[in-house]
Formats: sequence, structure tokens, C-alpha cells
Amino acid sequence: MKLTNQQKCENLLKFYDDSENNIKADALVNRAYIDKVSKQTINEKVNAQMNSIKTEIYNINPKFKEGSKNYEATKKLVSETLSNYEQALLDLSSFYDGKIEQLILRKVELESSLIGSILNEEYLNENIEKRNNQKENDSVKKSVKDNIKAVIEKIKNRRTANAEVDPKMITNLLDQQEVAIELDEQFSNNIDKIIKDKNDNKDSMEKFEQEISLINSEIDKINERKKNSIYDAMEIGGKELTPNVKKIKIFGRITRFFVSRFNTAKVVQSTIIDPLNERIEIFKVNELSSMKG
Amino acid sequence: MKLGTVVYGNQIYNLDGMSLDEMKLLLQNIENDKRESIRIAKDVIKNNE
Repeated sequence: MKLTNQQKCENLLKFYDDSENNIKADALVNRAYIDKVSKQTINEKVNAQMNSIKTEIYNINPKFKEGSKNYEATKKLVSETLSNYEQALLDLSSFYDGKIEQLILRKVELESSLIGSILNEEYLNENIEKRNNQKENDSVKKSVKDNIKAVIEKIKNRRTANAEVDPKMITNLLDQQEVAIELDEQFSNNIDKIIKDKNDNKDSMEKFEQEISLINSEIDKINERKKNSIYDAMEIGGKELTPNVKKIKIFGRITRFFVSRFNTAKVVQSTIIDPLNERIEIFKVNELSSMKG
Repeated sequence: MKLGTVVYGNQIYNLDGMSLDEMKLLLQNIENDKRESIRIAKDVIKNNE
């Protein structure tokens, strides 16, 4: 069933409003989603690192208590190092999030263009319809003009024979008619241009849809790459989070008696914190800076 | 950073309080909605060609 003009306009207006809201909502949720993925992955990684530090501390001194006053200095050190660690991971995630943000913006641009092209399609259809009606009128006009031309021809022949009418006047009349017919034909030819525009518009719509679909899968890919990159960052050896840390041999063998006589804070700093800080610095200088270019 | 809220389908969503799975589902719904409304618009136009 063919829709009335009013129904068609109402439908397209609703389409425009819905699309505008959907595009906005999609961009906002997408941006929030990538942010949440980063936060969650970084939290997971920092917690794993914190647990690993605790395990290491207990390996060094099994009698060590978190609530103890002696732990204050170590706690401060651990907290500073973990903030540094977290910041390096945030910088890493920002690199990927920046790329995804650009893709989200491009997607908004393409989706808006797609909506524009769909509405333009309707405008071009209407134009073709108008031109078609015009063309029908043109052919009627042309045949009427042809008839008039033929009649004038006859009169001209008759009049020139009797020499009663000025032939120049008739020739001018004929010339004017020729020009009018030519203009009308040109006007009708515009329809070909509109049809070409319509085809171009269809091609653009297909291109927009293809690029949008590519962007969607690219966003998913970069998000996944970001997660893996965060998990792999500053890890030693295998490509996995550090749930357990190797027990330091020299301390594994010593007795509880000896352990309590070590300055745990200093040992923790030299065997856990300093190497971790070194890993953070190496990561910042090498991987992070090469990523940022 | 606060993620804020988003209005979609006559509902307000608090993005900070949503889990990743809930967000993914919401994104999927928006995407489906967009596709459906484009399909309908194309049909409306085709209907009048």
C-alpha cells in the first residue's frame, strides 16, 4: 500500500529523531564501555601485583604483620610504587582509548551521513517524480508546438505566394519557437542528472554502511588488544599476571630466628620494590614511549 | 572519571553503576535499534518509488 505524503513525512521525521538519539546514545555508551574495560583490567592487574607483593613480603618474613607499626614505612613505599605502576597502565590504556575514541567519532560522522543520504534518497525520488510529470507535459507542449509550426509553415507558403505577409516576421516567429523547444528539451534532460545523483547516493550509502561495520569490528579488536597489552605490561617471563612470586632462595632457607633479625623493610625495598620500580621505568622508557611515538 | 547517565528508549541508564555485560547488552540493543530504523526508513522510501 502506497503511503500518503503526510504518513511518509511522519515516518521519516520519526526516523530522523530516533536516529539522532540512537547515534548519541551509542557514542556515549561506547565511550563509557571502553573506559570501564580499561578501569576493570587495570584494577585486576594492580590487585594481582599487590597480592604478589604481599606474598613476597611473607616469603621474606613469615612473621610480618600488616597492622604492625614497623610496616608503616614499607606500606608507604608499596603504595607509592603501586600508584606509579597504575599510572603507567593508565598511560598505556589511554593510548588505545584515544584510538577507539577517534573511531567512535568517525562512526558518528558516518552514521550522520548515512541518515542524510537516506533522506536525500527521498528528495531525489520526489524530484524524479516531478521531472517525470514535467516530461509528460513537455511532450504534450512539443507536439502542440510542432502542430503550430506546421500550420505556420502552410500559412507562410500561402502568404509568400500572395506576398501579403512579411516573411521576416514569420521567420523570427519560427526561430523563437525553435529556441523554446530546445530549452524545453534541456529542461527534460535534467532528469538524467537526477538519476545519476540517485545512483551516486546509493553507492555512498553502501560505502557508509560498510565502513560503519568495519569500525564496529575494529573497536572490538582494539579493545581486546588493549586488555591483552595491559595484562602483558611489565610482566617478567611468561605472559601472565604474577599471582605468585618466586621465593627468594637465600631467605627460604633461613630460620625464623634469623628472619626476625633482618630489617624487613630494607629487604623488601631492595628485593621487591626496587626491581618493580625498575620494571616500571623500563616499560615507560621503552614500550610506552615507542607507542606514543 | 564519572561516566554519567544516558537516556535511551525512554529510560535513564546510570553508566557508572552498570557492569560490563550490561553495557555490552545496551550497546547491542542500540545497534539493533539503529539497523531496524534504517531498514524501516528504506522501506518507506522504496514504497514510494
